[in-house]
Amino acid sequence: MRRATWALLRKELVELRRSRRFVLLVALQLVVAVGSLLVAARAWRDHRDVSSAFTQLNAQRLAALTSWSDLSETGVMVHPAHPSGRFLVDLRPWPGFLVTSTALPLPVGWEAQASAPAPAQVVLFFFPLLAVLLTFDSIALERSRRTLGLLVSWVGSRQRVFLIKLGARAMVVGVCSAAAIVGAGGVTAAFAPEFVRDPTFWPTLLALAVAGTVLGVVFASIGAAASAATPEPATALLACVGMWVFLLVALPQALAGLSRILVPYPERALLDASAASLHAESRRTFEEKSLEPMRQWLREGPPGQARFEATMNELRRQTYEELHRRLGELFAAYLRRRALAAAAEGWASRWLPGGLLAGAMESVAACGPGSLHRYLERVAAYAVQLARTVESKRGAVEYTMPFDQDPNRSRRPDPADLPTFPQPLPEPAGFSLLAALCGLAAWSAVAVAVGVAVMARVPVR
Amino acid sequence: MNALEIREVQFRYRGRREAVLASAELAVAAGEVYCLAGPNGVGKTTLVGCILGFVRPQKGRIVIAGVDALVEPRRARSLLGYVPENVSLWDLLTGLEHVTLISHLLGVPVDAARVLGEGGLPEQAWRQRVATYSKGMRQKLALVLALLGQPKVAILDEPTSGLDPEASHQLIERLRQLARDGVAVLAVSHDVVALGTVAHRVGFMRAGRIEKEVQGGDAATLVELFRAEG
Repeated sequence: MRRATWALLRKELVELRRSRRFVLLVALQLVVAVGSLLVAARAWRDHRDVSSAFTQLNAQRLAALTSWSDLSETGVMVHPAHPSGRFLVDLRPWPGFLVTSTALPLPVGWEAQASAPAPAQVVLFFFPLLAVLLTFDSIALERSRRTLGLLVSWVGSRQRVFLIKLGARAMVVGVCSAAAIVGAGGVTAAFAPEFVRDPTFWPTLLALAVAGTVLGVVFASIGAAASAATPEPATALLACVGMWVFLLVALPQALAGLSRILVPYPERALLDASAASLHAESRRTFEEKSLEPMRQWLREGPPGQARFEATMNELRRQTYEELHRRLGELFAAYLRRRALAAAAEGWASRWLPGGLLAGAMESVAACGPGSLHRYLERVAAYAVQLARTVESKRGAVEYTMPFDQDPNRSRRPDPADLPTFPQPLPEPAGFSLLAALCGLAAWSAVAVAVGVAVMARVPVR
Repeated sequence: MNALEIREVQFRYRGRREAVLASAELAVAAGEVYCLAGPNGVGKTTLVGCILGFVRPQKGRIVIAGVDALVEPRRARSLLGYVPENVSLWDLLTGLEHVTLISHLLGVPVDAARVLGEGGLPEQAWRQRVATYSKGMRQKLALVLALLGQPKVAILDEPTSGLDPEASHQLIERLRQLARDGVAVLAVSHDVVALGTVAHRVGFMRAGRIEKEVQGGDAATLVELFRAEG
């Protein structure tokens, strides 16, 4: 029995090795893996250069600031790390390049930037395609050339023939997928050594190799099941490509669309309008509340000036405190709704093979919706802290003095007084690589079970 | 003792009203060559499918060397060697690899080179891919493979179809040798002239059963009979 299994396994491997299609697909897989890693390395280098340029520009800009008022002009949204006042969400530099290629729209001028195409996405779409292209004819070709009957009569059972053939193809798909990623890593090490030197490079790449290999095996199983269910290789190919499109493109898109309808993303324009409305309301409240102290000062004359200015400074402090508190709440609510929508969208397709791989890699690289949300919360908290610092540094205003003679206005800010933004740390997004592998194994088991059940009904001649 | 016995086998494809096999009966003794002839669509291939277990008859009994094929299909199948009409082989494998593969699947260790030599395959073809083989060479290799498990019954579907006279002659000699070795040979063919010379009996099939059986031998008589039965 064991000898028969090995003999059939060896026959499958010999046939695969000698087919031009196999050689072509494996070469293509390696080229694509190498290409995507080199593109990621290039994007990483560009990102590093831009970050470095921004840091220099920021230092120059801070050195040129003449007053705290210049910083407070932009209100709560200001951030010194970016000369244009926009906030760059700096994902952990290189795993982000490996895993995501989407520029995420973030609230009020914040952006997440990463490269495209990311190797994880190449693995997500390309490796399953290669897997089905290597397995679509495993049974259908035997049926069409009428060798299935011979095999079954020699091996003894259709299911065993199916399992052995699937085992051989899945093994080849798995080995080729893993070798392509690791080999591409080696090529990248030769051409972009500094990219590879990042301590997160190899662990993330190995995680990608493992997840990509298992995903390839899942689609090999799906390809073999489709092959058993169809009488001709051409029909099997159509069925396999159809399954690939359905499971990796059509169904995830449909589920994402459904999720967006059921749990919609909050409108960013609404957030902007609400923030502007809060600013306006705060200004109006300040003006209304300042009327009475002003009237009192007018009634009292010059002796009441000191009390007037103390009252006004206290009023301004209270107004800004309230404004920052409400802006903070507004942003927090926005971020919560956004995180909920992102999580719903993510989890809608997280059970699918592609979603499992994407979730695992986001988890490894800490750049999934969960990590991003936690990071954005930190950004929002920092923005409020920054605004409060600027307010406190501006100090008391002498309201009787002409604006251009305000001594505080010309007081030069010291960058050291600004709060430091906590750099993002790798955070698990609540979805581990192990969970993803278990999910993918379950998909593979379902495909194998379907294939075995279908095989029992295959007419053998 | 009969190596192959078919008793009142009936078979009807699902959704069809008329039966393809209607109480088909056949017996082939060990060391006998039986040629099954008849026009297209009378049920010859279906009968072979029933013997090989590809389709299961609704009624009847098939016994191969004392083993009931409907009760113990796997054991019965191990006693059969089959060469299909369109020889199906794996084009990317060589002749030697075919023999090694099938001997391993059957669990019968053999000297692949010796077996191929005995099967009449030229030595230079042993290490060539089967895709380069001629029809005759494919037929020879298929017969070698069918006989690897030392079957009690060899079933050949249209064995001389597409063969040149020389290859056809070699095949007939091989069948004669098989019969001498005690193997029951069932050859399904239209070529009663060629196979009639080696067959001990020729059966003519019509409407799902064997209508007439004659002794093999004289080609002219067989052709006349074939015309009359067809």
